[in-house]
Amino acid sequence: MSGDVVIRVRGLTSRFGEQVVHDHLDLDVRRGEILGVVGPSGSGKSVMLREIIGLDRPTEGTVEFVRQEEREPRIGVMFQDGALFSNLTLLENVEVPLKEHTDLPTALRHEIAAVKLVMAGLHPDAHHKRPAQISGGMRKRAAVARALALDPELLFLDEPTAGLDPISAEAFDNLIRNLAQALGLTVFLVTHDLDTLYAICDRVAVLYGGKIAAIGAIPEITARATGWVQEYFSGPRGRAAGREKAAASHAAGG
Amino acid sequence: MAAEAAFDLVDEEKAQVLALSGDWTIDTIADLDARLRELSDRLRPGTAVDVGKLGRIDVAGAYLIDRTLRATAETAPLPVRGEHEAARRLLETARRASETPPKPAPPEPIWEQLLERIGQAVADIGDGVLDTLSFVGATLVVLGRLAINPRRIRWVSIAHQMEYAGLNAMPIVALLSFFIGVVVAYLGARILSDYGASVFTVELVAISVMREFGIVITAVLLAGRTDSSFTAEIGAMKMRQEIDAMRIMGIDPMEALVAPRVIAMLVMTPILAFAAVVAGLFGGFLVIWFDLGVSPVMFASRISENVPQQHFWVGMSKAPVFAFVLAIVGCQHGLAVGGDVGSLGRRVTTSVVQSIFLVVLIDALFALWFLELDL
Repeated sequence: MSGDVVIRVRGLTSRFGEQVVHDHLDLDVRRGEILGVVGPSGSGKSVMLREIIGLDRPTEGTVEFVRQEEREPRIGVMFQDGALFSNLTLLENVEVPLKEHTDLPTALRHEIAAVKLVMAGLHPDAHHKRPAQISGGMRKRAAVARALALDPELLFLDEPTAGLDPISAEAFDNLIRNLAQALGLTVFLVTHDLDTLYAICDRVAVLYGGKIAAIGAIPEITARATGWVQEYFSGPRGRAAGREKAAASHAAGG
Repeated sequence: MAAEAAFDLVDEEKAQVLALSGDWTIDTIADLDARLRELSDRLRPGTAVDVGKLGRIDVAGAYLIDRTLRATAETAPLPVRGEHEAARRLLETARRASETPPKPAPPEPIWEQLLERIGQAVADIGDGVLDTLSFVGATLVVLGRLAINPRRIRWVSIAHQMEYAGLNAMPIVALLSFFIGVVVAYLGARILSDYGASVFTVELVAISVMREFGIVITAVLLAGRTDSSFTAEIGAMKMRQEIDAMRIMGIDPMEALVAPRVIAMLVMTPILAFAAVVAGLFGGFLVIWFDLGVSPVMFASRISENVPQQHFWVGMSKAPVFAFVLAIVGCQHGLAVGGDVGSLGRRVTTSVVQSIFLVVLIDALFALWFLELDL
């Protein structure tokens, strides 16, 4: 894995009135990695995501996207509930960014949008449905397809597996990992799902007390974990997810 | 700047080679589409693609290359020449994702669509009438149940709706009615003076404002203001599954949402209508006083002597009917909102249009009925 940095967050501070959510927080996202951000509810994970993608401005500090080649890296964002436009079909949803930012001929635009939906695991039968007519898992897939419409280098996911059953969640994890590998994506995801962390994240950043309390591969973090971090990873859920991962890699290796 | 995407078809001894150069990304491929579609028909089976001089590539570019060459290598992977860090991987991804050809929705002929929409609209009118009638029935049942068991009445909610839907509308209702009174009096004074009957302006203002304008202005304003907010409010709750949550908790939305609004409207509409009548009379009176020099005392005595009380009661008797219709239409459309944003907008529009239409229609029926009764 190359170590060069794509997103450099320095001195990020977010204050809402008296409440300090982030306190001079530093974070580097490396090219090509899948970085998972965890933290207790209310620790400002989603706020940080919104500040990095530029929807909100931090009170202090900077977020820098390191330019590779000559242009700003493109970003794709999948919001928690998909945020698909409910009066458009899935195909039209994916076409929205294409229409806005490219001058592709209509036929080619349809084809590319359809390719993105198939890549996200949606059969062509579903392409002309509206978001209200499909299941939550399919909506998330469509949201990923829309996030990937312009072939971004950076993909942001907010709680990608929230609200999915474990099997759909696992399938979705696999989808993200495969897409990231195939397209060479850098993925920044905020999650509560320990299975997701163990299954697909190269590194995990723990947001606690307004700072990044720990960052690294999961074994590194658990080795020197204290306090909340330890509780998080060594609670019954954390242990189960870890065991599963160990068994899986054992089976794969043997 | 991105390098322009280009391709070159090279004929070699054994096979054709499509040599690519420049960047093949979603920003650069727009102009190539038509040329590549045309080229696709001329390629021989087994044409290879040379990615040695290729710059950047993304899924869109890879898809375009794959589409061009697909006919030449239906089942086998593309023969790829040259070295490129991402091209092979992306070409494979594009091939996998486009194996199931996307089928466009079959477009229907325009006249068929038109006939279908007309038919649908007619059927919708029928359904709408039935829905409204059944909703009226359901509301009456709930009101009856509340009358038997008044402890279930939600007084707080009613008070809130009375303030929001009624009291807050008072200034605008009074102001509008005031101006209507002014206009009627002014017209009356001008036109009646041609016949030397300008003193009858008092009767004209009093009868028209009491009988029609006060209540109709109130009802139309409430349709625009309150009925629409009923639909939007309940519709948004429906979309956010709040209504479902209520049902699960054993709370009947008809009782918790519809009944308080109906009761609040039944109480407030007559009060608003009364305020409108007073404001209208006042507006008319000002014009009559300044324009015709009729004194306040004379104005009052002309009204009490020459304008029968029945006109006032005819107007007020319509208030509860309009109140009921407005509340019912607003709530019914709110509860009928579906899952998408578009349906919320459509329902609010329909709700306002339908309630204004019903107000005018019912007013006309009332006019006929009262005239036949000689009231």
